[in-house]
Amino acid sequence: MTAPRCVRWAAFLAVAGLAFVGWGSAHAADVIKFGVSTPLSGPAAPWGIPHKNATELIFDEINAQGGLDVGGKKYKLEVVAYDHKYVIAEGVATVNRLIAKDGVKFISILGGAVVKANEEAVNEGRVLNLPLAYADGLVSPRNPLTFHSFPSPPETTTFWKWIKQNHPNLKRVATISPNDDTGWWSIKVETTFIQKLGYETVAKEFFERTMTDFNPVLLRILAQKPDIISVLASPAGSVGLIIKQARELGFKGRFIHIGQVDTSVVANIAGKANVEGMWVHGFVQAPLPEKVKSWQARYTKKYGEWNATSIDFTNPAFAFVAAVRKAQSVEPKKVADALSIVEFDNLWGKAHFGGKDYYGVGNQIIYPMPFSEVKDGVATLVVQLLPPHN
Amino acid sequence: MTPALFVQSAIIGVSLASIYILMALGLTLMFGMMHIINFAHGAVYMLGAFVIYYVFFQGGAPYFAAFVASMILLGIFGYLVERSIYRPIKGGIEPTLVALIALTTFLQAAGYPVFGQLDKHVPPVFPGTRNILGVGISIERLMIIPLAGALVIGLYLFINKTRLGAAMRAIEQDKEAAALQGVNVHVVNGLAFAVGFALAAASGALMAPIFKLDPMMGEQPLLKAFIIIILGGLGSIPGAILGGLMLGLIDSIIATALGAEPAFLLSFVFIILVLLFKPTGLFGYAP
Amino acid sequence: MHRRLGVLLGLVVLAVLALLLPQFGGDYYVHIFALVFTNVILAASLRPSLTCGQLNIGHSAFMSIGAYTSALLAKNLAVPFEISLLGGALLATAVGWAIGYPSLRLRGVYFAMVTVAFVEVIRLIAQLWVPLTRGMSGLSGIPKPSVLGMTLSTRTGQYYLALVLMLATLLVLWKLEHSRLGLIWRSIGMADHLAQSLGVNIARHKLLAFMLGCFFAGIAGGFYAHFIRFLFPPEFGFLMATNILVYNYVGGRGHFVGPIVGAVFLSLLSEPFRGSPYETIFFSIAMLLTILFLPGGLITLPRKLAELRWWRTASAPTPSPAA
Repeated sequence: MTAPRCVRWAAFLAVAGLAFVGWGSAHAADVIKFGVSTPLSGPAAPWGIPHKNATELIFDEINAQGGLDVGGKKYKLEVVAYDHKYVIAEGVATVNRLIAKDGVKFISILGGAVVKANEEAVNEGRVLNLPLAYADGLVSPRNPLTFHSFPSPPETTTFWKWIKQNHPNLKRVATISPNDDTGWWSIKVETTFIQKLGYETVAKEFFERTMTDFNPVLLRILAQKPDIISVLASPAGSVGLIIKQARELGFKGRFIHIGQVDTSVVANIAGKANVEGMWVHGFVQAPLPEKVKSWQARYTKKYGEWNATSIDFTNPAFAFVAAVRKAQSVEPKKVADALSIVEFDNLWGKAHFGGKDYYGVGNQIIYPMPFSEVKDGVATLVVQLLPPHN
Repeated sequence: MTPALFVQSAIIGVSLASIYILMALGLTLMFGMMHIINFAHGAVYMLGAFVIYYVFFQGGAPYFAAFVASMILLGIFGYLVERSIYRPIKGGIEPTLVALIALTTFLQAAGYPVFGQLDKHVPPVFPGTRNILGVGISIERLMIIPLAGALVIGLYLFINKTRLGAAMRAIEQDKEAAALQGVNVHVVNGLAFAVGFALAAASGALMAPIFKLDPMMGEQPLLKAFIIIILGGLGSIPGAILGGLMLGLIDSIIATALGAEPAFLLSFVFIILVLLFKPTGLFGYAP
Repeated sequence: MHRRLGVLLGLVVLAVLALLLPQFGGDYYVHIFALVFTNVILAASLRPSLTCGQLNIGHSAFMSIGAYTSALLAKNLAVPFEISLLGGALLATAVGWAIGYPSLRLRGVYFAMVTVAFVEVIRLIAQLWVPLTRGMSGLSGIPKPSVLGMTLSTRTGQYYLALVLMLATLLVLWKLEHSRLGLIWRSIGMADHLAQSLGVNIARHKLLAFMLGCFFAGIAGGFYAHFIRFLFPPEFGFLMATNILVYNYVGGRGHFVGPIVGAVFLSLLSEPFRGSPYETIFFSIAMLLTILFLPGGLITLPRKLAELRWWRTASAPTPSPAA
C-alpha cells in the first residue's frame, strides 16, 4: 500500500467516525420518550410490528387530546422504536442505545431471550421495562422495575380448569413446543398445572423452530394416543403445519394453544376443517366486544391492515399511561410504585399488576383473559377468565 | 420402537427423501459444472414457491401451468444471475460464493416487505390421504415421489441425450478442452445456472402446497441439500439420490425413535465422518 | 521515508481518535465500537487461513467455543478473566487442530463444506448440552471482564480492553504476515505445487494458519461473552460465519488492512438504518455492489476513483487547433 492511500483511509475513517459520533440527540422539552425494542424485520416481525403500532396509536390518541397531564404540565408521548431482529447482540445494542443515547427511561422489549439478555442493563440503568415475553424468572423480586405486560402460561393455564369442567372426556394430553427457553418454560408450567388437575401427560416433544416436517415427531406423539395436543408457545406457521400433518396421520382429537396465536394463519395452512374446535388464548376474531371493535376500527384506519395480535399488545402503553397519571411523575421508580397499585382499563376490562403469590412479586399483569374456540375457521370468544393467582 | 412404528417412519422417510433429493439435484449439478456452491439455492426454492402462490393460488391458473411458469421464470433468473454476477466475477469460486450469499440475504430480506409478514399458504392440489400399512400419508406427499422421479429422469435424459447436455458434460470434464472443441463455455454456464435454478424452483413449487411459505423457508432445505451432496459426493447425481434416501430415512426413523434433535446432530456427525474418511463423498471423484 | 511518515501519521490519527472516542462518543458508541473491534479481530484472524487458500466458512464456531469456555470458566469456577479468556482461546485452537488436522487433505470447496457443517455441529452442541450451556435459555450471569483483579465495570473500561485486544491481535498478525511465514502462506495460496517443490511443509503451514485464526476467534468470542454477558447458541450460527468471510472480501483480500476496513465498514453500515425494517436490504445491496464493482474490495476504492478521474480528464475533448 502506498502512503497516500493509507492516509486517505485514515482520513476517511476519521471523518466517518466523527460524523457518526456527531449525531447528537436533540432533547425536546416536555416530551416523554418511550423506547420499544422489538423485531420489526425478519420472521418475528408479525409480533414486533403490532407491538410498535399499538403503542404508537395509543400515544397518538393521547397527544391529540393535548398530551399527558403530569403535575400540571402537559407532556407529549413519543415512541422511539428499534428493530432487534430477534438477535441478542442487536437486542442488547438497541436497549443500550435507548438508555445511553436516547435517554429513555421507559421501555418495552418483546421476545424472551432478548428480554433476558437485557435484564441487567434494565436493572442497572434503573429504567422501567414493560416487556412482552415468555421467559422463566423474568417476573421476580430481582427485577423490581420489570412489569410483565402479557399473560404468561402461569396465568393462562387457568383455562384448563374450565376445560376440566366443560369437557371431562379429555384425559390424555400430549405437548409439542419449540426447543427453547420459551417452549421449555411454558410446557413445564402447563404440565405441572394440568397434572395437578388430574390430567395424564402422555408425550412431551420439542422441535427446532425451523422445522417444517413434523411427521416423525408426530408419529412419536400419536403412538401414545392423546385426546388433546397442546402446541403451547409454537408460532402460527408451525402450528398450522403440525395440525395439518397430525390430521393426515389420522389424529382426530383437539388442539389447544394457551398462548396467543394467529388462528387465521393456522387455519389457512392447516385447512379450515382441520382446525375446527381448537382452543386459543388471546387472538379473538368474533364476537368482538365494543371496546375491541372500536380499537380494530382505529387501528385499521391508521395502519391500513388489521392485526388481531395488536389487541393484547396494547397493554404496555395502557399500563404506562395509567401509572404516569397515577404517579404524577416521570421518575421510573415513582411510576413503578404507581404500577403496583394502579387499576386501569385495557381492551378486555379492568387490569392491574399482581401475582405475588406465584412470583413473589406483584409485577405480572392480571386481567380477565379472553379464550376462544375456532368455529368455522373463526376464533370465537368463549369465555373470559382471571388467572389462578391475583 | 414397535415394528409398526418402524414401518410407518420408513414410509415417511421415503417421502421426505424425495423432497430432499429434488433440492439436492440442482445444487449438485451446478457444483459439478462450475465447482460453485449455490448458496442462493434456498432463496430460489422460496421464489419458486411464491410463484405458485401468486400464479396458481392468487391468479387462478392451473397448478401445472404455474409449476412450469415457476421453472421457466426462475430459469431465466438463473441465466441473468450468471450474466450479471458469475460472468463479471470471472468464475472465481470465493467471490462468487460471497456474491451469492449477498444475493440470498437480499432476496430473503426483501421478501418480507414484498410478500408480507405473515406466513402464506397454498391450498392442497391433491387433497386427501391414503392409508398405507396403517399409516395415513397425504396424497400430495405420495405424488412427490413420481414427480421427483420424472424430474430426475428428465434431467438424466437432458444431460446424456442432448447436444447441450453433451456440451455440459464436456465442460464438466475439461473446460479448456471443451472450449477448444468449439463449446461456448459462457452459454453452457448460463444454461447450467438456468437448469439449476429451475430445479430449485421445481422443488419449491412442489413443496408450496405441502408446507407454508415465508421468505426464510429455503434455509432448512438448503442445509439438508448440502448434507446430501456432501454425503453423496459433490457433483454426483446418483450420489444425491442415495444421499437423499439415507438422510430422509435417518431424519424420519431416528427422529421417531429418539427425537428430532438427536437425528439432526447425528446427520452432521455422519457428514463430518464421511468427509474425514472419504472426503469426496460416497459417489464423488477427486476434483 | 515519505511513505513511512504518511503511514505513521495515519495510524497516529486513528489511535488518537480511538483513545478519545469515550470522551465525546457517549456510552452507546462506546458499546458499538467495542463490537466493531471484536468484528475486526474476527475478520483479521480469518486472513491467514484465506491467504493459504482455505475457504473457511465456519469461523463463528471457534468464536462460540471461546465465548462459552471463557464464560463458563469465569462463571462456574471463578477463574480470573485473563485466564478464562486464554483458556477459551486455547480450547478453540485445540478444536481447530482436531478439525483442521484431518481435513487438511480436503481442498477448496470440500474444506468449505466441512466448516459449514462444523458451525451447525457446534451450534447444536451448545443448544443440546443444557446442563452446561443452559441451551436455548441462554447463558446469563457471566461476570464482567477484569484486568489484574480490577473489574472493568463501565462500558468505557470494556471499550479500552477491546481496543487493546484488537491492537495486540493486529500487531501479531501483521508481524506474522510480514515474516517468512507470511511469505510461505502466500506461496501456498498461489500455487500449492510450487511451494511443495520448494520443500515447504504445506500441511503444517496450513494447519498453523488455521489454528492461529481459531486462537484469535476464541479471543474475540471470550471478550464478546464478558461484554454482552448473555450467550445464545443461534448467535454464532451461519449468519455470523458468513459475515466474517464477507468482511474479508468486501474489505479486500489484497492487503492486511482489507479485513479491517471491511469489518469497520459493514459493522457501521447498519447504524444509520437502525429502526428501519430495510436495514438488511441495504446491507446486502452494499455487499453485492462491492463484490461486483470493486473486485479488489473497498481498499481499491481510492485507486478506482483516481483512475476514474484520470480517465475523465484524459478523454475530455481537447480544443481543436483549427478552431
